[in-house]
Amino acid sequence: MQRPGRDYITAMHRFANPARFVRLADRLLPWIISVAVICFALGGYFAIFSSPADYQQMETVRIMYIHVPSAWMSMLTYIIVAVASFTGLVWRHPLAFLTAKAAAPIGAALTALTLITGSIWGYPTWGTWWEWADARMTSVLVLLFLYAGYMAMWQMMDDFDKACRATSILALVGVINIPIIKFSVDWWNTLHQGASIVRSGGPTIHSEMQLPLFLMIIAFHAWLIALLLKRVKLELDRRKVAVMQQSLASGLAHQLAPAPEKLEGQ
Amino acid sequence: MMEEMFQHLSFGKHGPYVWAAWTAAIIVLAGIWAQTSIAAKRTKTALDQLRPKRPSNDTLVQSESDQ
Repeated sequence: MQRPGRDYITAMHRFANPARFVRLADRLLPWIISVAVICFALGGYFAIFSSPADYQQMETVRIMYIHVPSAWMSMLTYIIVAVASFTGLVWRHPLAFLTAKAAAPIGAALTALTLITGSIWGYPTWGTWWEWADARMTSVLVLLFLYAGYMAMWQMMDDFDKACRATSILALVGVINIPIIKFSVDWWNTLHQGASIVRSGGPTIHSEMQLPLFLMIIAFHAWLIALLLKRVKLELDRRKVAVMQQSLASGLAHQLAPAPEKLEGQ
Repeated sequence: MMEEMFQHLSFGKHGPYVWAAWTAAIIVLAGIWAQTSIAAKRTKTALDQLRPKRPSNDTLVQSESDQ
């Protein structure tokens, strides 16, 4: 009898081959980019032109259409980093480590965007740009620091294998922050409002606001997948360049080094 | 008609906040996309330069004539 999850592992090993991955990515990219462009255009139109203002937040509600998807994607990207790191550590696939490395800058950019748009929304609504006592805001800031630390660790370490292990451990330790971000509004009394979309009684937002939000969420997903595929391809090429430069340098060093018999004769 | 459109797009006193947030989103999303595309192009160029080159037809003709 086949074990559950066996198919997933077989598929994962199949696409761990870089050449096969690049072929698949090249075939998928135009379609995913098209979905992203169409959904950004439609979602942007509905969000700016046709969705109504909120009775409490008024026109600032239009910031929600970019703030919510970017916040979700910043957490999803960290989960991708953690899962890829775990996969790399367990199955020793270099492509998994490179996927985690490629995802981190995207996650950092999305987290920064979440903080910027949240802050811009917060000032007219709460009367403050930032509140240190708010658990949601500070835990998202911690996420940005985790991304920064992860990327800095890759930059610092020259040895590829050591960098893979060290960054993976950091990514796996940092994953604890994801449930803290998600449930911070339930666990602590925060300035940030509670969940209004993914919650047990259904979404509480008006149906006219759901369509643009839904379109923007699809657009952000498609954008994230497309950019991740592009960045993994970039990391594969960078790795090739590094390996070729290393072998060239070692070949050159071998040519320049005096032969042992010459040294003995001197 | 146009005036109504501009009136709507100004979003009253909250207009600067709405447009600042949307501008930030466009800059961040397009910025990281552009950075990735430029880096990919540069890396491809570096990779092409490092790959061992095959002699072109002209070089082969030249070396044959030298002999």
